[in-house]
Amino acid sequence: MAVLKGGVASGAFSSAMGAESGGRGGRRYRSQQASWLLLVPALLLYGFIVLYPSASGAVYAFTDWDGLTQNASFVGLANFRELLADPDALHALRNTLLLAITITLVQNSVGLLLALAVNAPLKSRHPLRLILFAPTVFVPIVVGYIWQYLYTAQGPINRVLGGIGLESWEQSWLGDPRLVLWSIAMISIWQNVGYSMVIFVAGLQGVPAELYEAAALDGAGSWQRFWSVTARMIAPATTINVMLTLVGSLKLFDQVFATTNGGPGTASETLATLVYKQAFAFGQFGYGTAIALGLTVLVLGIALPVLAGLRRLEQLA
Amino acid sequence: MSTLSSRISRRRVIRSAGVGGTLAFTTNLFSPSRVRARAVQGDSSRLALATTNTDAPGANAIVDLYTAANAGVEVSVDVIAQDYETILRTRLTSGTARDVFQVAPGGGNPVAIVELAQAGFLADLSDQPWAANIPEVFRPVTQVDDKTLLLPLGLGFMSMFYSKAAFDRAGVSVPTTFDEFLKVNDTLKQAGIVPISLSTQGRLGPILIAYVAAASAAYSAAPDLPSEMAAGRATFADSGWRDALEKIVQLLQRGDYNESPAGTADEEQIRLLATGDAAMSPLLSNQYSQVESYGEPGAYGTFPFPANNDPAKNWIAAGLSYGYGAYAESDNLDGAKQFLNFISQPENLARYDEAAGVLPVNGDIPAEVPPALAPMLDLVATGRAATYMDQLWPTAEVQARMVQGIQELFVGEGSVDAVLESMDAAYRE
Repeated sequence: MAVLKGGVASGAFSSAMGAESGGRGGRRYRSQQASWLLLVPALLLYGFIVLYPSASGAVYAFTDWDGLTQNASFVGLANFRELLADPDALHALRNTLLLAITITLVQNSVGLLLALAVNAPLKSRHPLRLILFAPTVFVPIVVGYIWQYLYTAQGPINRVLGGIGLESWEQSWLGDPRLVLWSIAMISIWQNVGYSMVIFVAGLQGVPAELYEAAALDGAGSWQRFWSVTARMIAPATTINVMLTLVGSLKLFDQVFATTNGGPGTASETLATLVYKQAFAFGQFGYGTAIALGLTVLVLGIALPVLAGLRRLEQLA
Repeated sequence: MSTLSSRISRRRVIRSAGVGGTLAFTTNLFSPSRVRARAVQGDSSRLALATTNTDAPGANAIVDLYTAANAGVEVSVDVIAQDYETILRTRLTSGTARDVFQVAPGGGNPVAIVELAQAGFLADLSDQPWAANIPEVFRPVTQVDDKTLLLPLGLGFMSMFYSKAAFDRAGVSVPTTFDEFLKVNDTLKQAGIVPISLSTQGRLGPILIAYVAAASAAYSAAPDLPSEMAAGRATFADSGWRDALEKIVQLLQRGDYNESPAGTADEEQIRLLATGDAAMSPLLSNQYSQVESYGEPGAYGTFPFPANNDPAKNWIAAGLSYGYGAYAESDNLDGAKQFLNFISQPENLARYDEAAGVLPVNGDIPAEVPPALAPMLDLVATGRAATYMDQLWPTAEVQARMVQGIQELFVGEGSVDAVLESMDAAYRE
């Protein structure tokens, strides 16, 4: 009886606990259901505006559609085979990777330096942040046209260099195949470094001052404090910045289109401009879509391992 | 447990979304669909015209005349400032094109009538009264399969433009042979004047220098070159195009262009000529007003690029500028045709041409022609003009390869052989 009572008691206890945990679990379950309900409209909108057009557009990569006529014939993987054998596409891939690496490294390095500078207790730090962030809000293609003017052989940059006695530094910034990619990278970096700076500033402001005090008490110098405290604490901000710049620069189009349209020759052709040319200028919509799909795979293939690596570094930090 | 929770589960939501999405997706598989955006059927009081920035002054002028002459008719002008070709093609594919829109003559352009006719987007205008009056020399580029698909609005040409002041300073006169041309350039350089201003940074500069050179070097000796190429009996590599490109490179090697054409903007090419810092420049006729706006009115002249040592064999490149076509699926096709008929009246075309800065298609149109440009129109009238080459090429890629190749030549890369080979490869594709 005692066992039975105990069993009953434990059973009752279990039931009570089950009801209690079922109650807590039930509340959590209901809360999750509500969350999903709230997400459904956004998911539907995202699916309708982004996923569905992307997926249905991707189908054209397996066709010979010219972008105009009603009919498109299925050609299997022919467009992808052409892509792998196309010297222009391989050249564009090289340019795309060079731009992405340069922009990611330089923009984030400079962005971090600027963030450290404007995070200091300066009176003018707020106006400085505003000024440095301002280019980010300009339309990229307009920025491209402005810089095209600045870069011309007889333009302001060369005139200033000549005016201060640096004629030997005057260059054909957009006309020299050896310089054009770096000139375009500069445009993107100039426009977006403020954005990286802002994210780093947010990260820096989350670093507890006590950590710096403790490090200083332990005798750590400036560099050691930066490396041991700052760099580790802003790891999440670094992850965000690196991912944003990497993905954005792999898809760079506006600045290239506005300044050189891939020229001179194909010196600044990127995969994004090649997609545009093939699809809209040459009427090779199927092939252009295949290049776009290839670019998507490239972005994923680079971004995901980089993200995994950065996340791991965050955890180590 | 709530009734709501029992009915809704995460898996069910995802499953439903997935099924719905798959259904919607597969219905569009391999079949580009057109969405008809027009709700109003056959509204003859409304007409819509799509055009480019450069055409806008002419379009607005003609629309004002039309609405004044046709009370109760409303014509909206949709000016597409950038990327006209891409936007027009997108609208055509989606079924949202305007009743009348600008199209390019011939082929070799994303919005050329050859391209658009394949998809059946252009209305047949052969029965319109003006169709029979199109000058014979331009008729081939207004038709596809013997159907007239485009109303020609104006004419343009490409030739060498020169600064009279720069020539006077150097004490030279207009060269009529290639040997004279080289001597004039040497004299100009000695006088500290840039012989030829050119920008190869964009698309237009390479097209200008190539067309003015090829008109004289290739087409004057072989006027049938376009049909011979279409029949497979000629190629760029074995035609006068080789001579044209070699002469362009020869001038580059002699230093006859401004410093760094690859780094010079289009505007700068015009400004150098306008101010007399450069003596000559290959330009389009509708850029002439810009030259005068930077410099002095009446201070410039034109002549054909003297690629030959026989002056009579020096030609210019000329052709119809963009014209207007009617959308085959327009709800107001009759209204569109009526509008085009109105424009085709000589006095109305003259008004359009003057506003748009293009030249009249023929002598019946009483439009004012700047004196500097008149001599070149005489060349067109006497048959010493090659139709804009890309209008007779099968795809836009031929011109793109040409531009790319010339840009590479101007930065010391590539070769004339490589350029010709890439043009031939694109032509054959």
